[in-house]
Amino acid sequence: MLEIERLQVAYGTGEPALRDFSLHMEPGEIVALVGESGSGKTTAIRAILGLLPAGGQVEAEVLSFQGQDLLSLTQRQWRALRGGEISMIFQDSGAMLNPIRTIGGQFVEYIRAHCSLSKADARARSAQMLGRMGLPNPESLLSSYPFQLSGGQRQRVGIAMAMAFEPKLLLADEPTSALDVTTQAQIIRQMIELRENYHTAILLVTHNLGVAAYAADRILVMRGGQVVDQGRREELLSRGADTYTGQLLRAVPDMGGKRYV
Amino acid sequence: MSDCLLEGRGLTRRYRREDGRVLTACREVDLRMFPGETLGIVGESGCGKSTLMRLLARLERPDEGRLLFKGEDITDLRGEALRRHRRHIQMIFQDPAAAFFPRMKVWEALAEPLRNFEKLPSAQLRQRVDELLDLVGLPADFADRYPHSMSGGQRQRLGLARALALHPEVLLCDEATAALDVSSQQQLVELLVELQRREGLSILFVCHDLALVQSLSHRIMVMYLGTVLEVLPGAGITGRAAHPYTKALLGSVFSISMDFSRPIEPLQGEVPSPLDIPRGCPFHTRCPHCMAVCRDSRPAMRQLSPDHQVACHLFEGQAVQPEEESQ
Repeated sequence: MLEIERLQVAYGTGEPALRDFSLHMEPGEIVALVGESGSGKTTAIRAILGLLPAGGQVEAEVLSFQGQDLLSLTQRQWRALRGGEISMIFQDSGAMLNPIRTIGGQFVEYIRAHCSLSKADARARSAQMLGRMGLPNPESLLSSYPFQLSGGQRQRVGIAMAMAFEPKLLLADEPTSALDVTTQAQIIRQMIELRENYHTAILLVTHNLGVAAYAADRILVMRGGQVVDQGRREELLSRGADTYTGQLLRAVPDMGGKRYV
Repeated sequence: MSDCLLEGRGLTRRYRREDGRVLTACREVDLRMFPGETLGIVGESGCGKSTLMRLLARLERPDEGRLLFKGEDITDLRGEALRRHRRHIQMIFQDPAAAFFPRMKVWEALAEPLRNFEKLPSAQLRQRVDELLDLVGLPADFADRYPHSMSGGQRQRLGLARALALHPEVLLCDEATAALDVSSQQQLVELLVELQRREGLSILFVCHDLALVQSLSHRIMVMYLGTVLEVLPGAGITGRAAHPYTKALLGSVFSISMDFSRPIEPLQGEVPSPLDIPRGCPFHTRCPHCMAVCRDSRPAMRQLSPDHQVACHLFEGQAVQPEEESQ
């Protein structure tokens, strides 16, 4: 479904921020990209959706989604794809929302940008999506402003919007990093349900190896703009201390793991 | 146990908002900190962790309760006496990028606390700065750099060096590792633990990463809506946790050694607003074991064992049957 061969992203003439990145994803598959900051995880995920900051030059042997070449899309084609077949959720969905407009106003606008529904129907659809994300009182939520919501609620609004058109592929950039452990567990569980209910493929960028190991079928470990290791969860978790993955795993604090005192 | 260094008795802090409503950030918190010991504090956002820390640092005054340092009441210290006291309790912050004045070089940032508290000739000052850099494992030539040219992990170690400049007895860490990658996080933690062993520092470690907190804390305090629900030893927290909230927090942690076939059971719902704390037990609105008594009366802190206290009606002497799980 998603085919990437030797993707490279460079800014200016410096070292490429991402090199030799290849990834194949099947429908309904959850793949996690893990690595420390600056390892190129976010660059990779943004390059897929053509969302790099200005000056980012993308080269690839293959970059295609459902057979469609993503490197030669026009603005119009991108608009149809983004938010429709492929959608994205960010670390802080609060930053994506307009602070001076209600959730409902923005959600309705988003839906109507992609399909010809009446305002009333779009609002009903919004409420339904919010309800499915386990948000209580969707109606009153639609009349609220982003600042009136907690971080977890805003993140769920972001996911509800991203899922409005049941995308085939969901790109999630650190979706739970800003949240409490309890909310993180709720959101991760809901993301796994998306796969079960809609057969959505999810590319999850996270620095939390526990989350990656729990949610993903496959994990790619990145460092310095390259994939340095990849494999199924069990393989990766059993890497020895002499590998980078092994070192990363040993640095992660773990319940019942290493104690310092 | 050895002599208590910092003690809070019934610390309460309320904020009156513009609309006249009162937000209770901390409610009757008791805590004791001992030399050479780390006390970890965990809880969801808005549980009063940061307010409590500000109270302990005397950045704010509690509305009720007393704060004692080595047995001396410091709740009402002011002016020069408060300024003199500050050297004993130092703090490192969550965002090391925001914790330094951008136009001060590294050595100036480290020299500032020394200048404020100790009159030193400049050669000696520079020597102390070099010692501090060495203490946290930063190269001496960093002294002439600016903080912005350092990585997050290096900056956080610089924050630690500045906090330690005056040999404080108590170090307060407010989410000090939250902005760091796992490897720099591990370095900072190892450094903290080593300094604690060497200097007998008493550390308060506030953090939302439960696995990290338990790895370095002697004792852990669980907070919810400004109240302490449980205090227990850091070792074996998974097996010893008694309060339903502590168990729920533990159940929400993703771990690389967890059983992946078992679905994670997140705590449902959201934390109630601290403007409108529920009557009775603050946790009763989300508790899977909520009983009639939980809605009416707030459970007192009771001793389960010498090193384990919990505030929950489930552990009261008389047996009260949990209600059917009706939500």
